[in-house]
Amino acid sequence: MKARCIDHVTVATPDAAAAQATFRRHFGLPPTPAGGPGSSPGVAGSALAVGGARIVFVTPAAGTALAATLAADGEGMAGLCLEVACLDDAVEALRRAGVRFEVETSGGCRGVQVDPAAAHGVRLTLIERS
Amino acid sequence: MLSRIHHVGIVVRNLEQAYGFWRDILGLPVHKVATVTDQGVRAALLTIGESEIELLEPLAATSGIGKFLVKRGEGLHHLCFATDDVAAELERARAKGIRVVDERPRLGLAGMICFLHPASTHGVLIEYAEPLPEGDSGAAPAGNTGAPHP
Repeated sequence: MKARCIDHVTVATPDAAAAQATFRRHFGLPPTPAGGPGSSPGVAGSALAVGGARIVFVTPAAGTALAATLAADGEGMAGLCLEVACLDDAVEALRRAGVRFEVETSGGCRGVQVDPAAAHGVRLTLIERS
Repeated sequence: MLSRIHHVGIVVRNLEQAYGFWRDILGLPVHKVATVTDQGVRAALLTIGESEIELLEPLAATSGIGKFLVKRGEGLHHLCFATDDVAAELERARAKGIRVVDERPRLGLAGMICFLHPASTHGVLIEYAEPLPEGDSGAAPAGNTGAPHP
């Protein structure tokens, strides 16, 4: 497997719009669409671009794992999404290594949610862009 | 001007163990490694596209990163933006009323760096890094991974 680049970093916050506005004001980053592969289901989001990557701000829906993380740890970085060259190769490499994962589909694109225990506590998503 | 994500910092219990996932499974090459005793941390930068993943292993539970590990466990620690002028970015941040951790840029693993306080950035610890020219590494004797622990 070869992870190619950082697609986005997820910031969990009670108010995604306010957080996006803060980052835009502080860092002068341009807005960009928040959805697409690797976006978390059940959340409202907005995003900013920085280089070839994005910072995605999400307000998790009640009852989701991300909402529990937000409640426990407060707002902050909550996820990392990497683009891989080939998702099938990634799945095979994870399987070979005995890493637990879930395949998910979002916006018509497939992604892999890696067990945080294997990714050193990181809520890690791998995606393939066509 | 902030040009890209320079790196994402991740606290791990043990670097070698972490290589087993980030280097060996994800295929990210280790670009730089440094042990910084005065910061109580060992750090490694792994290249991914235009960015890097920075793995941080505490050398003692009493260090800042060690306290983070005890309190939060392994996981995401900070987000670093690349800039061509870290001093100017720090000044701009101060002028905007952003709380800063470092009053002036200092040498870190990623080059000349400074940190902003997460209280001003929705809980996200932000680092600015002005990479040094290749061969002029910030990793060696005066090295400092830079990672603070507010």
